[in-house]
Amino acid sequence: MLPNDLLSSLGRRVFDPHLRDALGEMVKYRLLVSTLVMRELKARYRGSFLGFLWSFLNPLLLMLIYTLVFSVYLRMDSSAIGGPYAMFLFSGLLPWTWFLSSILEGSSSIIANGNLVNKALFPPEILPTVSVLSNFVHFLLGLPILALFLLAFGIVPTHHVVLLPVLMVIQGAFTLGVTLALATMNVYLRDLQHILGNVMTLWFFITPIIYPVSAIPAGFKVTTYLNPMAPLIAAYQDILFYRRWPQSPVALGVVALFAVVVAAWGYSVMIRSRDEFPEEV
Amino acid sequence: MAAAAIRVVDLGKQYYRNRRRGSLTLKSLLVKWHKERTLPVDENCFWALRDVTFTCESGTMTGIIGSNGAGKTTLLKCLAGITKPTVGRVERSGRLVALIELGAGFHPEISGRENIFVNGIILGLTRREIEQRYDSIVEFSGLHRFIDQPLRTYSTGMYLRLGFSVAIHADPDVLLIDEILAVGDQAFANKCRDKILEMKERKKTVVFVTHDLWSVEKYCDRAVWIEEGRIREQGHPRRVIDGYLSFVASKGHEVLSGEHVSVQVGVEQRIKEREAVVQAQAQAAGAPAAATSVDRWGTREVEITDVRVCENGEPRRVISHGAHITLEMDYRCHKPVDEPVFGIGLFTSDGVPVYQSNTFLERLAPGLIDGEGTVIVDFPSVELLSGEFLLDVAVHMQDGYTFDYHLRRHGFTLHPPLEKHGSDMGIFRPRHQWLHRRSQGVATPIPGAAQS
Repeated sequence: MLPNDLLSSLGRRVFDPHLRDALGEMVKYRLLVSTLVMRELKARYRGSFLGFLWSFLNPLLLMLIYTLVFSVYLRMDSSAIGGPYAMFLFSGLLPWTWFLSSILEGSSSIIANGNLVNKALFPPEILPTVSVLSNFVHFLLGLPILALFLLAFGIVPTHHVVLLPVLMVIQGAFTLGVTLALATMNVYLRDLQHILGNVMTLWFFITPIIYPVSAIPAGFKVTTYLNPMAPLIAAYQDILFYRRWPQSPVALGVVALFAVVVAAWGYSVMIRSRDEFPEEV
Repeated sequence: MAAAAIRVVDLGKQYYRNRRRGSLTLKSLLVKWHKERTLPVDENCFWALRDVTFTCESGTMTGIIGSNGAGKTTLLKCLAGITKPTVGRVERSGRLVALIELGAGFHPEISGRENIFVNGIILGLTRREIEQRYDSIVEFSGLHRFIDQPLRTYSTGMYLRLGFSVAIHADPDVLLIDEILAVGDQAFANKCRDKILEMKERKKTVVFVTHDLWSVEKYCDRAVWIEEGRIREQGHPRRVIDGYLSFVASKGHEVLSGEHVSVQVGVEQRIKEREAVVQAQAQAAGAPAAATSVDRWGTREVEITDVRVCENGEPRRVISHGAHITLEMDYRCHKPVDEPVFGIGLFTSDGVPVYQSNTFLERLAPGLIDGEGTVIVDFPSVELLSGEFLLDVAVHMQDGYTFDYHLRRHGFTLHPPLEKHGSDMGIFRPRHQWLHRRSQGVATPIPGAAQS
């Protein structure tokens, strides 16, 4: 497929007849997916002295750095937030890290595993899925660290955390869709992986993670309405930091629907192009 | 009647010529834009495979041969379902394992043990199946002591051994192999070969791509010869190989020894030196302008018109070990020549001289020749080991004035005696016998081993 065909096909149909087959295949390949996720998890810190401890240390260090920057060097006004700023930051940063690493790893996963794609009988849509899932495991491992910090600041989790799995499913579906589509496009247009780092930095700063929504100038609030990550991150902050139900349930519902559409779209983009991967990788 | 394990019908695979590296770059876009405007569409594409139709019956072994770039690996990938054909179809039945790359999914940081599981699951095994076969896999690989080490500490040979061991234990109904039998050391290569033969005995289907024509001839039921994406010939291995070798010979010696680049350079150097000498000689003698090329030179006053290697009088490309062969060269004289010298040289495919001689060195006197005739060198028994051999033939004067010199333009392939595995090494197999004399008593022949 030529790239211009690709771009036109992206918008053609969101729901593809192959989609159900694809989901069926994902179920069939769950052993393969779980094995590869385990491979990623085992391989990541293997050979380092601290080994698997890094799964906990990394989020810990990340939190300490952000605390240092935003509580000491660049003092944020905690009164506008209504609690310890560092904790507000962590509740949004941890899910964002899952999103960010999934996209950065997943978008180049097809190319990085070229020998699986063009030398083995291997369904390529598994590779971005593995990136999303292995980073999800890291996110889960970061949660106890976050909980410890919250407790240390006297923020005892409440019953609102029951909504956490719902948020994870929404975020997972959205991330998977975006990653599948980006991984497909990256096969044809490899410039994508170079620009993606910058795009993600911009996305990070326009999402209310290091500042509350209230800090955004009125004229720019529109970016949060167009940004599916904004209601999600806000919901994490509501549940974990403010200990209340999400304040904008409608926006969250829209994002949930949107996430399903994006996941379906991401799949169909990949399914339509995957037969060409062995020649392109 | 055996069912078809793989049926290939009118298979064609088309690639875009100027998108071989796949991804779009600004540079390739500009090149492509230019080419698309200047080249008609069908020149922009080429068929890596075209009109390929054949069937592999269940329980048979098929060898795919052909020159480099003929489309063998593309065909194998189509058989495996890794690449989708542009036209035509491939029907397969049973569990298929493609060994196009050994150790798919191997990760350097995790241990051999963990990699066995990853690789096995990618090959379609379940966790339980791998657990059941785990000991056998490790034993086959011979890597017991290293199995808990990270894979990055393995040598290339160890890596391939582990990969092959897992693949062979995937117990496929159909096994596709791409030139990977040269795995590890000789002992392991033999083990792999035995394992593949065992699969054949268990009525599994094997298809393999190789340049090792001996394996094809020895083990395969059928051979398929692919050239420029099309099937040139298929059927009985010996017939197909013979056709292939004739084709290779007709393309000249550079294909036969094409993989020995360093030797090639040496040969070319020698050719250039000889060309210079010959041309100087020819000019000094005021001879007619010589038709000179890299592999043939001389004045052609006496011309070698044809060279044949015959086994029992029949011209052959493939001859057997120990056969009675004759080397026949037809000549044609454009003027009578007194006491010419006919010479031959025999070389291995990588240029090692095996034997060189001529009528002058052997104190023979052909006398006056005129018109046409044939010089025959008779070898009652050729005791060379299997391999490809190249021939020089020449006719010249005693002082070196060359009429016609053919440098490695001809050749033949020797195939080992069928009862042997052909695993002894060297160029020449002298007739011999193994005897054993125990402390007392007489020397008796060492008996043959029971066939395992």
